[in-house]
Amino acid sequence: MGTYLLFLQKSFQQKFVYRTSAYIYLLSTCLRVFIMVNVWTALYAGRDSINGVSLMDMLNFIVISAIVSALTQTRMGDKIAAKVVDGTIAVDFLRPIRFKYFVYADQLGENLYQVLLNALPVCILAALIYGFEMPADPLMLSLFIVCLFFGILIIFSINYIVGLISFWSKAAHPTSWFLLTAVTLFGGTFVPIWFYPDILREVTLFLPFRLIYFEPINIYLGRVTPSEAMSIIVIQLAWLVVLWLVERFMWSKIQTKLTVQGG
Amino acid sequence: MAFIEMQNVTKQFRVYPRQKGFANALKSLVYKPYEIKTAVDGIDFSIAKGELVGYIGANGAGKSTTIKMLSGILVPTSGQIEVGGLVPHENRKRNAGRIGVVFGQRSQLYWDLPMEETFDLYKRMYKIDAAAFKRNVQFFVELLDMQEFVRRPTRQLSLGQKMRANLALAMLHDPEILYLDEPTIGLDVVAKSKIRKFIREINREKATTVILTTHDMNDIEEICDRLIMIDHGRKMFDGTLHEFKQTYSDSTIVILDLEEDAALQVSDGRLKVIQEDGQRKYVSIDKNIISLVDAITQLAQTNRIREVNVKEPDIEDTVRRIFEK
Repeated sequence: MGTYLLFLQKSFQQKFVYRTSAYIYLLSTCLRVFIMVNVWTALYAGRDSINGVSLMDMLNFIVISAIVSALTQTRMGDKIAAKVVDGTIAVDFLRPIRFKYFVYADQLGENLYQVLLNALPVCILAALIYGFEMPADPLMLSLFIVCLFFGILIIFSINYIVGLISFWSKAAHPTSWFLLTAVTLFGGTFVPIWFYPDILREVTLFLPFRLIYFEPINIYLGRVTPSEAMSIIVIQLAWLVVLWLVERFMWSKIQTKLTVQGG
Repeated sequence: MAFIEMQNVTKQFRVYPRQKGFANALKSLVYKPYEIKTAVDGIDFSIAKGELVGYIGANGAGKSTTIKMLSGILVPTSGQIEVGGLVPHENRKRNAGRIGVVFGQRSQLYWDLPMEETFDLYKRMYKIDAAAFKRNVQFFVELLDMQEFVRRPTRQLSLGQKMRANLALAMLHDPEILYLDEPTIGLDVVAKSKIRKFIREINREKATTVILTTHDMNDIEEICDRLIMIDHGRKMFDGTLHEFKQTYSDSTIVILDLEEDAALQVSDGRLKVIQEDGQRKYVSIDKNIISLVDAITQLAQTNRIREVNVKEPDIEDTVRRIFEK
């Protein structure tokens, strides 16, 4: 455990090296929140609520989603693929560690950096300007945290599995791009699923993507009852088991067919 | 059972030859023909604890593949491998704890952090005890002359400095075995000699077993006691450096500088003049049929010699000759 915490810390630390890019990220997050707030205010056009969603809910959604998206972003699929393609994966496999935990810790370190030094400052600023509400019920807040935690695990598992595919294909694929599209469409990260047409909403119910981002925020905003929140968490766990089985199966294959490329 | 044992080990890869042209690229999406390439072809060897073994061969001979199988990150197609009683690829993590590996072409350091930070990480990862860690860091930093750059981020280090740091990193947890895959590639003479000194020193101090692949024959001559040569995945030679020279190079070159620019007078058929370059003459002798002293005595009787130099066959020439055959 200690080792992986140290991996997390190192990847967190590494982020501090490039100050210019940190400022650019900060600026872009500011702009994103600012644009979203203005677009949605314009769409509401003075109305109090649309489909039972108040403008205040929407503003809360925008602010909290900045934090959730910083926590649920992952590049691990691309990173694994790049390492497989150029053979650097050998270095990771030579260490007496669990590869998956290493990859997770590495990603989490980056995400925590993004939360603490990027999303959080922007959110505080936005909350001061536009107003922001915390859940009144501590039960909902804790359910939100649990649900968000499992949401992170789900997107990490998916991206990890996508990364493992590169052991077979021996090529880097635009996986991040593809996943981002899927998560944006079926996960409700850009437009909340509240506003989706019925068919599309039905489809999202059969996919894991809404469980990553949209459902935790839904719980945070108190738009579901505690018992509904519990059942969402159960569905998350079911998905995690499925993803875990897939990943175990792939891993056992990799152990026997692993080839490391290049010199 | 020897410490490191390979028995009839073969490793085959599938390679997908890429065809030219857009139509073929499209076709390859559906159907991809492949060929089987045998990188390692029935290799046997056993290595005892504390040996310094040079593993040589041309590019693509199967050296790196062997190292990767020994370190447990490649699974052999057939044959048995055992390293200190473990099958490496079945016990990857446990095996990893006992070996140190340096790939000349890959760095294990964190790119943006000073090497000290990577050292800390390895301390935790390999559960190195604090006293041993401190002692090793001190010892390696001194031996590899790294004082001036321990605190500098990796990206600002030269290739030679990075390689030294990687060597130290591989040895931090006192591994029983050190695999070095082209550790001196692309380095200047000074860096090379530091690395060679380091390898000899840790072998003496810690009795680490070292297997080293290289293209620089000076590495072998200065470090190794034993040499294994492979070609096209097959073992060609396994023995001491001395035996290697005896087997593959039977001639010694005598270089003579004469007093005047005249043709060299040779009366004995066992002396072969291979080149005449003004006053300088090159004579090749086969030590198995004539001794060096006899040869020079004879030459001195028929010629006015100012200076004599003897050039022992160097291993680089020898290897080149073998591969060119």
